[in-house]
Amino acid sequence: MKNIGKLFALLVVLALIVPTLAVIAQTEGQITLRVIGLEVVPEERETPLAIAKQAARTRFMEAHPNVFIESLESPPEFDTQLLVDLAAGTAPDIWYQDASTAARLVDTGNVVDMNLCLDLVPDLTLDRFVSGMLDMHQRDTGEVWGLPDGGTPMVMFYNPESVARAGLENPTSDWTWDEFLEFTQKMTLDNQGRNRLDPNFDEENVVQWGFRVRKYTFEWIYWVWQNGGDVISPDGTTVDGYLNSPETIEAITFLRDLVLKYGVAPEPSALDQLVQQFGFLTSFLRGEVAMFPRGHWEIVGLTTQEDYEPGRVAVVGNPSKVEDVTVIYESGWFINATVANDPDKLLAACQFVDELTGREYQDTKVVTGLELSANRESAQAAVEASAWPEMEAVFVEEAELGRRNYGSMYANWPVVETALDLMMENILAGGDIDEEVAIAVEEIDRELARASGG
Amino acid sequence: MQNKAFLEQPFFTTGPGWWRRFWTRSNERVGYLFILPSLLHLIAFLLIPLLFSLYLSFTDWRGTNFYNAPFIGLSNYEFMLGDRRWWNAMGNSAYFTALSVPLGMIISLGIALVMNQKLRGVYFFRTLFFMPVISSWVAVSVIWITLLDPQAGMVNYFLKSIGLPTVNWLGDPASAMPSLVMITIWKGAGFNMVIWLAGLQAIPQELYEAAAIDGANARQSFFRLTLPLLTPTTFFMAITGVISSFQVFSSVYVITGGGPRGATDVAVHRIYLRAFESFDMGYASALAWVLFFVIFVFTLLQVWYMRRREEQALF
Amino acid sequence: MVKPKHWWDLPVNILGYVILIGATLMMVVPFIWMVTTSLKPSGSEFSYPPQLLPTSFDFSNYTDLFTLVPFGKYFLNTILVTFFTVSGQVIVCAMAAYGFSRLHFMGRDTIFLLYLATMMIPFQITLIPLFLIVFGLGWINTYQGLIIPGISSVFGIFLLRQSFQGIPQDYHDAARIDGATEWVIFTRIFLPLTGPALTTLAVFAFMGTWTDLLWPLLIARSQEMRTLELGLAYFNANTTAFRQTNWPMVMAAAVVVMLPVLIVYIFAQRYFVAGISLSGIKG
Repeated sequence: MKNIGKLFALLVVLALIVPTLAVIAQTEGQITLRVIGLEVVPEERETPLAIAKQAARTRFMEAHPNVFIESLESPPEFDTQLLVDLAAGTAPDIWYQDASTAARLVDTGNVVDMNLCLDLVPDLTLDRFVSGMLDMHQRDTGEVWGLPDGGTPMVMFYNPESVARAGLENPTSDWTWDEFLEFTQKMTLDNQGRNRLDPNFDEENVVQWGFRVRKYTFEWIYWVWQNGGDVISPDGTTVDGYLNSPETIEAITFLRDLVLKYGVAPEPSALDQLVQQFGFLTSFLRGEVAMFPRGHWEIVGLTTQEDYEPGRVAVVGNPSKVEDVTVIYESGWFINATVANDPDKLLAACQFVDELTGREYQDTKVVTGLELSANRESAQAAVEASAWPEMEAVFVEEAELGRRNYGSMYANWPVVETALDLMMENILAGGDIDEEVAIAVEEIDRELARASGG
Repeated sequence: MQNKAFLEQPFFTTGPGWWRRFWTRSNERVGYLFILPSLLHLIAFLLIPLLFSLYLSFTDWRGTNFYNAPFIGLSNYEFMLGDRRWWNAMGNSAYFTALSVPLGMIISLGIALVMNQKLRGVYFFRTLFFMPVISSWVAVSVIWITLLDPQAGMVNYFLKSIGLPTVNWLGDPASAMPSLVMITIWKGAGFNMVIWLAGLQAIPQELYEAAAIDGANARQSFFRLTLPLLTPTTFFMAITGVISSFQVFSSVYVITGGGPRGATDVAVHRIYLRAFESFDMGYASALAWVLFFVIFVFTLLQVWYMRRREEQALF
Repeated sequence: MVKPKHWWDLPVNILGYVILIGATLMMVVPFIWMVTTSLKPSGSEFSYPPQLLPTSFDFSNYTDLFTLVPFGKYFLNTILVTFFTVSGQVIVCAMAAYGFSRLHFMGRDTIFLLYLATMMIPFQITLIPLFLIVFGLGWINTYQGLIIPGISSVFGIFLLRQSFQGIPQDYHDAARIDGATEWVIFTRIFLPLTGPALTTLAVFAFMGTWTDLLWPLLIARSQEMRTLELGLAYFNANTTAFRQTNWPMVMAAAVVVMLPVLIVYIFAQRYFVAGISLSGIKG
């Protein structure tokens, strides 16, 4: 303890010296593009997805020796990181992100209008893209914010074994809401094999549920559209007159009734209990929940489960009422607005986006099976090349009926969506629909009025 | 430290009043040197960012370029008044604090008292108690989400096996917050216990011996001796406890995400969502400053109350 | 062991043990659960009835961690960052606590109140401004960027100040009469006397730095600069968006990050406990 003073002084000196250790390396004489979206998690390094991404990078660097693609890992908390990076000027030059959270970055002027690239790279044209996905990047005013990579419409997953157990025929994409309701009623079975329409149905011992309803807006918004309703005005400034319109209320009531009136989908707490034990996908494959709405990526989730068997997974288009419509989710490539200040760098960035949206890279989408390619030709070729051609065909068909998600249009959509999720959570828990909708309308409109500077 | 003649030089005795007071009243100016490193650090890495966020709270900064953040005066604060999510979150924070601070303090004090006994094997127990403290919130969340699972969880399995009704711990709006409090106390008990122990061991053993000679029993020596002498620690624990409870975030973020039905949506979680999910930094800053104000008032009340109760001056 | 003085000492001791063991079970069972989960193959973490003890010992989650991630580099970074942050924090906080508890200067209590007030601001809100400052200093992706913002803590100052106040004023006065400067009194008398409190702070600072995620997440931009916790967070980041979380792997990672902290605690805890004898109050 005697020398503690000296030790102290030493530590002070050390604490001052060490920070000068680090130096950031700089590459000279070359264009370096910092790109997020090419890396995978370590345990997936040998997968086709990882190989395809690295191949695209290598191919591009060989063709353009003056360009070095510095591939960065996608950080945890991506949106937060990107925001901080953009504020500090340390954001990547090109990044891959969900179009449903991109609108705010567009509004704040952080991404390049891809029309610049269309001029610089003659081969890169908009007609290569699936229009439903390209929509998500376009504005009425003519700008193209980023370009699509791949995505999926929301469709209906069902378990053919469960259908057979209920003694039914597999559904077809031309079904209506009424047929859907009857189908789910007959699909909901108790432990004696009786269905919901049987007067002796045993409420206490449901072994197979016909459907799953959850609070999440992305799983129910297109039911509202199918009924001819909507949740927000076309200019994105109000939900009054839309969210509380009779068509919308009717659609919400229909979904609520599936749970609380017809009893063909488990109540939220019962669903939690059912699902947490083994995960939802296992419950589905085992036939405990026979049907649920989901996107293309779930094929990968389902086929990698222990309980997976080819006869247990199929997809069908959504039932329709007034309109046959679904919602599309998509991710794409965005170029940092600051890149536009350097013509050489912009050219390189545009060329790389051309590479990433071209046939060669896009053809690998079918190998990975996560999503539909946004490249029209690749998407069509995928139907034949896919390990699940029938399902792939349904997705391609439904993509044509898909509407863009609102997150790609309205910068303030996240606030709206959070409020809608909570509204639906309360309704599914037994809350009064008119009351909950009125609260949501008031709350969301306050937010939107503030957002528009009112 | 300075001698009188030195202080009577004209340099020190002329000039404005505060200047003369400064040189004559405070005799240990070397103290400034002692606090200088921390003060510089505080200014550079806390006060400047804070002032910046105060400025932001008067702007509508949603983007990434703060130079063009429009100045909107008190609009953010006005909007807050009618923001039902925010008031729900403030209510939840108050509820969380009211439950977790007293319970957490009592439980960890109880453990510390037992630990302070010279029981065999205490060393081992103390180590075990610290394990929750050092595990990350991600790990804790997975542990408790699986343990409290209404169907497959061990807690309900245990309740069922001894014939008690099961609870949907994190899934029911009524039990979600108490469950969260329970997990928070579980995680923090070891940490608080160490602080209590430090306080307990600062009490000279002679006092207990003297009390025992005077015929005090265990109960008397606890309430007449231990508790009063622990006052600085109690004070420290209560204040930091209230401050940190009002700032609870990690547990909510990783375990419940504010649900079910907004029952565990606490103030900082709301601020975080505003700042990093809605990118609404201006409004989030305003909320943070209101929260700061509330915590500040609470802390002042506590300081005032405790000073009144215990004349042992702490400030 | 203290010799039993009263007839009730034995039952009281037994009661103590009962409470201890009950509380310990509550503390430990979740932890055993964590280790058990980390030894399960992915996908089998929810089985029924729940099994507290591992039925199989599948160490592949651990070996995967070490083969897939440059762990050595992450460990080194973490040790470096933690060492300097903890040393810095103990030094800076001890100095400040001495100033605030033992020296009288104008504005002292006001400044201290200001310090306390800053504890009440949620960290999240200073995050972006703080990041911009560190960026302005050119410290992104550097060790100083990771270390310097953490070398002082108001909590630590508060903690040490409480402990410094417990040292009798007589010690101080005696040293002054001997003509010792404040620095000498601080280093020769106060620091040795407050060993347990300093250790407590050091361990708290150690734990905070070792497991910190948010700040390294923003500062460490390249793989070479990553800390352990950050490396593991990247490991579990949902880079393919729809991948399901591999809970057993997360648990294995958590165990790996936790172990060094546990070891440090086991070695440091005797300093908390040695309390009275070390602080010299008794002698």
